[in-house]
Amino acid sequence: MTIPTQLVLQVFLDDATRDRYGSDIGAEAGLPSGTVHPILARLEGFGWLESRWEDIDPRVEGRPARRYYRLTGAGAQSAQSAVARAHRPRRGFSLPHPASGEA
Amino acid sequence: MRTLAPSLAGQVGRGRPWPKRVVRLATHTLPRGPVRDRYRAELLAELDPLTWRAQAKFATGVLASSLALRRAVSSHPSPTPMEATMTTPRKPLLCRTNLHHVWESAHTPDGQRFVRCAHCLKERGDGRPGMSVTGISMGGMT
Repeated sequence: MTIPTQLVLQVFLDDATRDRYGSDIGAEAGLPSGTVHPILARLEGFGWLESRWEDIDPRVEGRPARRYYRLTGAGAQSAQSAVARAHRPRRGFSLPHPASGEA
Repeated sequence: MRTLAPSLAGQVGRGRPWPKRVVRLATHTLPRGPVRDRYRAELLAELDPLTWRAQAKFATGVLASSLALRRAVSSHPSPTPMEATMTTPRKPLLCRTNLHHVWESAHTPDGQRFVRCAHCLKERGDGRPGMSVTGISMGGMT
């Protein structure tokens, strides 16, 4: 899993009940604009996210309706285990320690 | 002047002209239809409340990642049953226009030989009755 995908999932996992829109997620994850939507599309394709249009009247609000995303039930579980797996250090790979006392 | 699709009408607000145009251009890479309409409306809605500088940055970012969005959308097509029924595999242009086929010899399960196009699987008949035209040709231009 790529680091941007982990960051996006982490944003959702921080508060799984909150609905978020693309730019909001990008700002929280610290990702540049444009990188978030492909990740959201992929996660939605996997069934980890679901999305809906904001229920507002654009004329009253003075802005267009946004598309909001949230984790699905199955997505929350999968995301948790995927992020945990990604953060787990890999066995058998460690940087060599400099030998002490040698020139 | 071009009018917006009904799904977009009333959703596009105060965005400056060129960032909006860039976002539209970026969404042109997406499959035509509801998918493109959805992402176009979504991205334009997010562009709308931004400042001029942020709009420019947002539109550039969307354009730069438009192919990634296309790949992400295309890797998980979710057609409805009706869409799935109506979707047909694409034939090469020369086959569709019946200008050129790549003929190859093939056998039916019972061993009968026939000639078909390797690209579009159209069968070649020479017009004689009882020859190998077994399929129904919609074009009628054999």
